[in-house]
Amino acid sequence: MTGALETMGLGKQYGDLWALRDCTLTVPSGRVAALVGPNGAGKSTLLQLASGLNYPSAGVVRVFGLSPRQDPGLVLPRIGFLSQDRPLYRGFTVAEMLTMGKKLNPRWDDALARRRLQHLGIPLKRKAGKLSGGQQSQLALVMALAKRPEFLLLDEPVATFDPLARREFLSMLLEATVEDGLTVLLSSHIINDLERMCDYIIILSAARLTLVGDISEVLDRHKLLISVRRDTDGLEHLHNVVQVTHTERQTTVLARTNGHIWDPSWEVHDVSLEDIVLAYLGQPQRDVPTVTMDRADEEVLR
Amino acid sequence: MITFRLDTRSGLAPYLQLVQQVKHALRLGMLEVGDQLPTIKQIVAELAINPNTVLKAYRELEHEGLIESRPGQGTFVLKTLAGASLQSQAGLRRSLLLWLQEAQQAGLEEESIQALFLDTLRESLRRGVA
Amino acid sequence: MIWLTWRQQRLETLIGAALAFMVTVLIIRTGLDLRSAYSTLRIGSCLGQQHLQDPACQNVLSTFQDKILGLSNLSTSLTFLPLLVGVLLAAPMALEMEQGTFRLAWTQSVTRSSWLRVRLTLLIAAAALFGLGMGALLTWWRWPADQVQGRFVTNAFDLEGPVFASYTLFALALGLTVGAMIRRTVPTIGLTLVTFLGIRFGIESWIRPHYIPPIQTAWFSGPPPFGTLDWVVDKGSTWRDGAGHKLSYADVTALCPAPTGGVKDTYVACLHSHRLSEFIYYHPAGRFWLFQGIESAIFVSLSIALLAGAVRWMRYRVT
Repeated sequence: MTGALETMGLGKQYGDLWALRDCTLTVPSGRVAALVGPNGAGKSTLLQLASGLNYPSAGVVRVFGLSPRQDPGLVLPRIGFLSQDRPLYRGFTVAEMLTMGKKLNPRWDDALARRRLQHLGIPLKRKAGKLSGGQQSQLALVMALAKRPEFLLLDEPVATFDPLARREFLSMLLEATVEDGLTVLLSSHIINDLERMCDYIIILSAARLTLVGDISEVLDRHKLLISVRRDTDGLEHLHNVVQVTHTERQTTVLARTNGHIWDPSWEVHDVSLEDIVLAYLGQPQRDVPTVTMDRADEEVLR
Repeated sequence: MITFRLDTRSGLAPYLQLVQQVKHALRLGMLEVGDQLPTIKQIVAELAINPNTVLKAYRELEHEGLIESRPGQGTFVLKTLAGASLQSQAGLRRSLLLWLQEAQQAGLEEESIQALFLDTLRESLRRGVA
Repeated sequence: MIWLTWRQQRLETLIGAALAFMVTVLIIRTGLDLRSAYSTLRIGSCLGQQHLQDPACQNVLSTFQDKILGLSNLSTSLTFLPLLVGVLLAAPMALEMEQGTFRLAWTQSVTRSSWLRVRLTLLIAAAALFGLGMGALLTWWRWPADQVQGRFVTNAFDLEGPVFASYTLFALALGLTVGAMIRRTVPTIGLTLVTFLGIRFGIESWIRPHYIPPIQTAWFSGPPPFGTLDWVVDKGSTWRDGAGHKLSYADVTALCPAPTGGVKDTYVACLHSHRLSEFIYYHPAGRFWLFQGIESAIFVSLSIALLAGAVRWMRYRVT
């Protein structure tokens, strides 16, 4: 299994500040991967490094085994990228934007682009700069999709969409993953819907990777343990404790388990993905071991 | 053909919701042997759901021998649950009543009984299919 | 890629083309006018040092000079044309940087390097085409005036020959570099204007006279030793006595008080008796093409350095 995206010790430094550091991960092909984390956690930086817009200060980034900076001619036709600021040539008409796509991309699917735009009710003769914010995002996305990429990198794709547009866009995206075996990496602030559309998660916090893995595996292994107030030494011996809260009477632990919890004094509960993500984001700024939870036996779609 | 829906607040994993909806339809006779199920692409487009989730649900149902996927044709119902459940319902109801009496004698109130039942149900489902 | 470049630069290119067209019409009209005046006034027969004292020629020449003077506003405006066209061509790139659309362009299937290559090649070609064409036209236009004024005066040297194209290229390169670095269109235009004018003025005033050492000659009295078309870069500031010692102007006036009236004979006699001479530095008219070559080379080199910097910056710094 080759990953659509592989990084090893990847880092990007601006002056004294690391925007991303020590990032080692794999996004297997055919996955819809969510990239979550607060603003400034390094999400955009990772996406830019993968698209070749930016170059690493440390480590290695590979897309389909190729370097986006050294072999841009081989990588660029295979990826689609949506930048957070949705750049469009404001003076171009929508039709001219499509002409640009056609002229610049050998795999351009003009019929797909026109069909999508018609469906969205975006007139071809309108200037891109005159479209509403949501329509501009839609157009930028259609441009990225009509490239017919194998790997789509989206920075906050649904941030400016209303719920209906959001649902429509996700349907279109997920349909493309079934049809073309497309791999998707999308960053998002919105966690509550991730479980539905994504099957892989990458959590970044303060420029570092805190969790990578298959979502169902992540859900299976994370448990909320509740007990009368006690220390967690015994637990930490066998499992990874992510977050501990003590009240006067009670101890609550979010643990990444490495097997069954045999100690009957712990009351074991399932945790939602949202709670897991929040726990990893809320972690204190100590060195967090990066956990790669990649289910080996999980078959890739198709 | 049946239509799927997804309840994001149910707390139940999306693939389990799909599995349950198929079983429900089989039980109520909405789906019969030989009926075709929606393709993965159709469900994905309809629900905006991850394709691997659908795949996992179908694999689960296939594992239980309820459906069968025929390459190039689609996924079809192999077996229905309607008959089996109707026959065994009377007996099951009797043993459930006995259990409820026991619970009341043990001093459990309605809410506690419900909680205990649902908790046990979820736990067993989770163990059974995870 | 060519389509994209054209589409992005379309407005500016059309403005530039319209401007070039209007200037061309104006230049051809006034140029033909000047040429007909040149032949009807028989300027050709009054050229050269020996005719300066001829009253008929003085009359004719002053009429012709007035005609040239009438065009001086136009000439001065024309010296800004390379700057204007260079900035017009560079502006869309600054806009591209400002609006972040390069992120869209650089994530299409065309690599950043080939994007830069095509874009810059087309821009340089446009600047060169305009600069060389307009430079040739202006050389034709200036010809009658050159016969009288020489080609080293400000409005002649800057408009003629290859320097015109080299200024255009320089303005373009400067605009592109500044645009890539500060990524704001309006400040880019402002900074480009100021920097361009500063460098152009600095080179013209302080560096151009010294491309090669001027010819030094003593002018004691009588007809000047240089021709009317030569470029006198230093006249009257250096005095030497018979032994070759340098004297200040105050020393000279102490020996021979400057004449107050129209009669200079006594003054000349005084200078003569003290063996005082004024030293003149000038570049002969024949150096015109050499100077054009040197100045063009300077601006072309500056442009190449700037473009190399801009390419490097856009390849590694812009994300």
